[in-house]
Amino acid sequence: MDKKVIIISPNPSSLYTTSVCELLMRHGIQIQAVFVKKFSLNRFKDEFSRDGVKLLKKIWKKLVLRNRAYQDDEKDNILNFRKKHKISLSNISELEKHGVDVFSVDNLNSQFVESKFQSYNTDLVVFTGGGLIRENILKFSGAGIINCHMGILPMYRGMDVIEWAVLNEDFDNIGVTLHFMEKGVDTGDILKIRKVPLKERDTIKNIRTRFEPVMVEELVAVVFDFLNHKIKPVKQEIIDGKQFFVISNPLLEKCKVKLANRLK
Amino acid sequence: MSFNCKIFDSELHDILKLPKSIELTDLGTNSILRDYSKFKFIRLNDIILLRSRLQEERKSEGVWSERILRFLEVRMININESLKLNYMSVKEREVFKENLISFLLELYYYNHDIRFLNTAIKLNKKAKNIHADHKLYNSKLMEYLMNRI
Repeated sequence: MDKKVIIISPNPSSLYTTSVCELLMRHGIQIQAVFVKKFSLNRFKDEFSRDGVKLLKKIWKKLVLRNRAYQDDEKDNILNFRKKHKISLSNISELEKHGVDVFSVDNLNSQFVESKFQSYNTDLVVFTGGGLIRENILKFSGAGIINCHMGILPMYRGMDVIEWAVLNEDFDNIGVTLHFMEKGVDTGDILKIRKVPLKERDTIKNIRTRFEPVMVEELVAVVFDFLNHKIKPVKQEIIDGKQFFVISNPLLEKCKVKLANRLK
Repeated sequence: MSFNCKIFDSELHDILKLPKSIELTDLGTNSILRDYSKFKFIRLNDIILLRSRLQEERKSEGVWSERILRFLEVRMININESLKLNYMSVKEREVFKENLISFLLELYYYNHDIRFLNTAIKLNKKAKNIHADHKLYNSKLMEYLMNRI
């Protein structure tokens, strides 16, 4: 298969990104470059203003606890997925020995990134996190930038969409959506929706843990299918959904109660 | 600038069992809502006018509410600095914020869009709530809405 992609990554050791990269390569897809967003004070400030205390929990889980964050009841987690699929890539920098260019950048929308994107003339870009992508980057992304959103589009755009769906008692609309990125938040054309059924004793944390391997699996499958013309994007209408923001603590508590009480 | 707490819905006044000091107000139908441009151009009168018209669903109010929601969510961390551009005194800034919280809560009361309650909760944490009647009204309405979920 003669298809080339660029990867956008939120950090060099992301379990999600490294799993996606290794599986894409196994599918014969050539990774031209990976752009990794550097961890800096400015990035921390930006993300803290958006996510608040939740960011600290995320940093604690992803950068401090790492594998130890998965020592709970949920067996369908990304570590077991990696074991099952024998995924060994643990840091993006290891890709350099396979001829992949790895760039660590402060700003994913910078002129440097733009000129690099232009020079690669890629078929597709795969987004695995790192914040908003601006139009100057979007226009040099081949067919576009594919993202896997942790919610059902077009209804649930934005942040904390598992929590919002639960709060709305919309338990059948929990899952992931593969879509193209565009200027608006989660408003791009949809490639695939995969609903994830809830389990009896699910908590928000469990659901999120279970989503991670699903996201890897679906992102790889959709990239492969799209590059092989097996799926076509479907346009979503702006008015068909709403953008949600970070959920406040009192509503999060309500959400937990609704999740626990849903089978009573 | 009036610091009195204004409310526009008699049903809400009864439901919340508000004291007589919180008077029902009617702005009439003559006031015209201008087009939304930027958050920094919004004045207290705009928020009060929006609040007075929430019982009737109009397209222009919908644009205002979505844009205000988005601004507050994105800029919540710097909201006090944003308000300093228009209102020099703490009292003025607080009465603006209190009305903004009422606006978001009332929006949720009428349209059941929980995003507005979420933003009201966050903004309430940034408010000093220095005007007793408004503090009472917002806290009673918030409690009522939270119990309804």
